[in-house]
Amino acid sequence: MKFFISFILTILLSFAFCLFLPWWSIAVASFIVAVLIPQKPLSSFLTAFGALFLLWGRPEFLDQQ
Amino acid sequence: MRIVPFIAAAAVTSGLIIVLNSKLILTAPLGKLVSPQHGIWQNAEPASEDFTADLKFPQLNGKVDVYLDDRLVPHIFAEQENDAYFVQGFLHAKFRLWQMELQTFAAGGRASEILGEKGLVHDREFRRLGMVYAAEIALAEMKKDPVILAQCDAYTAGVNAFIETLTESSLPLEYKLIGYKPEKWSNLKTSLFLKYMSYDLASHDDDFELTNARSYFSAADFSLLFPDIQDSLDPIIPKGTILKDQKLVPVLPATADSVYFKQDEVVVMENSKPDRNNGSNNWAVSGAKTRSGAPILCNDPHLGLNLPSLWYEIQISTPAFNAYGVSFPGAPGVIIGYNDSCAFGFTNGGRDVRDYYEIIFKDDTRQEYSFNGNWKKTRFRVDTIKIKDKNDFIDSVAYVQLGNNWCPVMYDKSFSGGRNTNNKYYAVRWKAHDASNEIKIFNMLNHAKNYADYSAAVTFLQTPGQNCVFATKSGDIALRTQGDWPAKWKGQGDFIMPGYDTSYLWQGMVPQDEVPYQYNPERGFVSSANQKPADDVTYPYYLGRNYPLYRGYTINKRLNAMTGITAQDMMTLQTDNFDAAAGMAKPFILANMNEQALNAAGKKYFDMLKGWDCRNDIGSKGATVFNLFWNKFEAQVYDDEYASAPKIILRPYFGTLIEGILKDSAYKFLDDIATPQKETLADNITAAFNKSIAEMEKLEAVGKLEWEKYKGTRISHLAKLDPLSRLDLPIGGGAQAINATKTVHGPSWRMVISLAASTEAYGVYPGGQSGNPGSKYYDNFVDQWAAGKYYPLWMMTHEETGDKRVLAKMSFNK
Repeated sequence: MKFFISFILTILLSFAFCLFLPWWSIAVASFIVAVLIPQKPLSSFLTAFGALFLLWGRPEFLDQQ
Repeated sequence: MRIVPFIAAAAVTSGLIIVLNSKLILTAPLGKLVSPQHGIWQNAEPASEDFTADLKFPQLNGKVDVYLDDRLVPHIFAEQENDAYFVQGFLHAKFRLWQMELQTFAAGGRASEILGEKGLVHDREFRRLGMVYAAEIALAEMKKDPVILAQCDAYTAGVNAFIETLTESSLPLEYKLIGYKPEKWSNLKTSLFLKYMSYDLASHDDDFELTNARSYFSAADFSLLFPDIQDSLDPIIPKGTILKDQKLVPVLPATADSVYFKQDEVVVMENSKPDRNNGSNNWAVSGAKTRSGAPILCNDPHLGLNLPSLWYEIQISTPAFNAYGVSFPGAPGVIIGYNDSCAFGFTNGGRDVRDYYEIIFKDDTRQEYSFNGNWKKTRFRVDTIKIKDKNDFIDSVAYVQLGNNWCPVMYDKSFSGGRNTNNKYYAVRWKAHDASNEIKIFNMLNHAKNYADYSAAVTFLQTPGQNCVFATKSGDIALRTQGDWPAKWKGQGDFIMPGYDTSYLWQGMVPQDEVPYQYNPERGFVSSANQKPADDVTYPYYLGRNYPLYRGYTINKRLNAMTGITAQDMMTLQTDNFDAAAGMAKPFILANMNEQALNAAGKKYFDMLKGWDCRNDIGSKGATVFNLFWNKFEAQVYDDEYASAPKIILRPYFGTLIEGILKDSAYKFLDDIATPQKETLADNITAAFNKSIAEMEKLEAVGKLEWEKYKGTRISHLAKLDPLSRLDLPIGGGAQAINATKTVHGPSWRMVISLAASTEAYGVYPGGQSGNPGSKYYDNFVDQWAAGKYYPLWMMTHEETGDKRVLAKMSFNK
């Protein structure tokens, strides 16, 4: 559950930050979520990795024509 | 929180961010590029992109409505003429900004700012040629003309209005890839762009190479290798046309035989030359020869093929005129096209207007130069060339006064273009340095209603000189070999000239009323394909040695024979693949091949050549065989004569060998001077064919013997990125065919206009209206062009705003 919530939150916060801030604000967003929703180190890493992978990888998957 | 893991993670994260945000380790800032909201994904344009816009600009004086059609061609309707140019600037920037900037940076010698040190030689050479100097002079001249100045001011304001709307995420793709931002546009940049066209069309010369050829070969051999009379010439203004009397008779300098016609070897070499093939075809047929009874005008300019294309289709409609055609992103107006009364087009004049003069300085400080026996004070221009990631390069160029003109000493001890050390000084006298107002001619042609308007307009075109074709709905056709041409004595400008007195300077310009032209000629058509403007035997002024022969020859032959011509006939002619040079050479090749001396493979390929119809068509193996053979044949004939020649030299122009053999089958250079016996035409042809067999076999083995596969026509992205280019296009044609499509050069625009009461217009260019590689409009015309097909051009009217071809409306208000 924690994993799921922090996953979604990371995606949303990174997306929101990128509307106004440079691209590396995704690192700041992930850090904020990791602080607010503490998890085990591996889970925390996978949350951020998976969330940003999906956020940034989405265009590549859609363009599979 | 555990401190050490935190610090370690933070350090790794920061490191990654720094590496991905800059070009310290990687060649591009990948973080920025791949970010969905900032990077290249933002440039991916959905196929259903909506271009509708409602824009307000206080710079406008009235309302402007733009209707983008389904090919993304904008139809601009403006209440005030200058507002149309503002919107044209805005649209040029919206769709082609990076291209506009790149071309003006290259023209102004600023490539190093983007490319780094590898652009330095180019930048030095372009500045020393006087590109920026010439643009400044043109700008000063433009400012004297209030109409043109207002037009350019509006255009510049429109470009800048668009640039101001850009954010990091909406930057064009190439800026993101290379990592820089656009600059503001200015009238100087428009001038610089037009000087770039002058560079492309009016700066070609071979003075250093020919000087060396003359220093090495005897006078007799030089005249045979580089003839100034061509027997197969069918000039633009036909032989036998009475020309105006010559008013200015250039005088051969007294010292010519001793110091000019025979000189020592030189070591300077231009680093870059414009493509020798930059040229075009144009023609107009009168109503007497057409089915409709109205004239048809055709033009296809031949230039380097790039994406984005040099051209941008546009319609400009104001209360004063209604014009459609192609425009240059970088300059206002319609350049080649038509309006409600007439049509106009251009081919390159190609005469030599760039000459070099050797300068004597008092000493290495270059402070004083010798002229007419006196020491004169040099002027200096100091250029600061910014280089990316390095210190600025300061280049100090001397300017000397030759006659009335201050000319840059382009090559000196610090710069020789090539990699040689050079101890001499050469100033360049280039016609493009002279004050002129090129935009005026296009402005006047856009407004033109009749032959009188055209005549008034064309005389404003000084450089680059062009053969201007014209036709009106009322039935007139005309062609003028326009330019402000230096009046030269025979041989002037072929070699480097002494620049220490007035005797070798240009003695004047050909008076405008002597410029050869045709107006409603009896033969019922006018045409030009970069051949000589007039009969080279009788024309009084020196024309030089290098002009293409064969396209003009074919065009005139075909047009002479045609009647009842339709627009479709003209499109078929424009895409014709017949190679007239091959047509002239094939008989003597066949007659002189010693078949016994060929192996089985050789006999197979020779059969292909025998059966070839001299057309550079798709699928033709004979065309490839001919071309591979011909390259080897030219080498076979001339390699021995050139074996010990200076490195900086020129081989004979194409056509010289064909003409030489047709004139005399015992052509002097057939003999191999390294062997005791005297080789014959048959010896050369057979030997050359044998030598070319290996290449033919290699190509056939990989399935590339067919002409279009061998040629591999490609439209390259301006930054030479293959994924953004169109490669291996299925199209025929060749340098000597009307369809002059080569590998990276060819018809950059094809246009056919039938001026019946209801104008029928067709056009196509190999590219697309959008310069964004992520847009479906980036290259959507390429296939049509390759297939030899055209689009109907739509001169939209106010009543047609509801037409289904309208994709989107952009409203501009003040």
